[in-house]
Amino acid sequence: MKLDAKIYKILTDKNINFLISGPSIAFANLINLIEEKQELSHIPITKEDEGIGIASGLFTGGKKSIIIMNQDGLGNLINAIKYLSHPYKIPLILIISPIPNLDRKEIYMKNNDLDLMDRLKIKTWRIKTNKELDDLSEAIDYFDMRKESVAIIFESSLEVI
Amino acid sequence: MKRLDAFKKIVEIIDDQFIICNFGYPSRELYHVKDRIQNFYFLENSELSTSFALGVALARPNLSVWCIDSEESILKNLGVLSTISNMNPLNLTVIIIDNGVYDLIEYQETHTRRNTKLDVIARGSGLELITVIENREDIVPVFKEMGKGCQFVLIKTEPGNADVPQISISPHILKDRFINALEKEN
Repeated sequence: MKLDAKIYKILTDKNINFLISGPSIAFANLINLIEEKQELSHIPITKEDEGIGIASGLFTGGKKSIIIMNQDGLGNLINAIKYLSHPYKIPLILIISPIPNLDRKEIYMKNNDLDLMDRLKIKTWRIKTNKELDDLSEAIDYFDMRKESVAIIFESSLEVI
Repeated sequence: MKRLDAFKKIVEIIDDQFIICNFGYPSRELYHVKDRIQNFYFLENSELSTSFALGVALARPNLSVWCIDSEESILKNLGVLSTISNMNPLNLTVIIIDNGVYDLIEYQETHTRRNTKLDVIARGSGLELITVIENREDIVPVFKEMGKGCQFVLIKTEPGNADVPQISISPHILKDRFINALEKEN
């Protein structure tokens, strides 16, 4: 099974209702799959913090969503997480996709994204190879049990990229 | 018409709608005029109330969801209007109360005092059901005659804030009571 199909199965098994995303090179096939099968609803967004607002409303309305964003959009989350997610105690599931063709920028982001997640008090899983995909299930289980935000950072070593 | 006057008219129409209200004085004024468990106030974030309302509307398509936002807030998050147009939730009404100034710095004008037209931006974003209200007396009849579908309502008011106290409920308590109100509708 291809990686995007495996991720899709995890999302449906874990009862994710909505996928919120900006454009993503790494997960283009996954987004296409979701639009094709229509088991989850896809909400395309214009900016990362907009996704936090929508995901927070969905959670409050009783629905579970994930937000897929590129690694270089992480900085746009700070205000939304600090002044919406944290005070209202609204948990989020973030999937961070790599930016494979911008090597120097990716190295820079790698060195900083974990630090940013730590400062935002978001527990992070880093997936480096396809064999570590179970970590995505584990992260969603953690979200379900603890009602706390989680981030899953995919690295460009994955075969899908 | 002051913004508080607009709120007084809006609450005359409110029935079973779930209301999300923008940060700062708009939330304080609505809380002062009519607090209810179906109201969700933004207490710290100044730009995502319309995005949040879109999420609630998509999660609960059988309920009527209103967002009462301000021009200074929606100008920071214009992309959400295209996202709403793209998703087209028929149960969402976005109300922008535009008083033409920043609430916390009343002498400083927002762009809508000059050339920026939010109704034109909404139309350009793909929204189709757009209403502009400039007189207090028009608010109740316009809302009563409004048909179904995703609505964008721009209410133009005079600058200024009402002298009303801060909201004393903590954010996560507000969230929990809003969730409880939504769950009662299951």
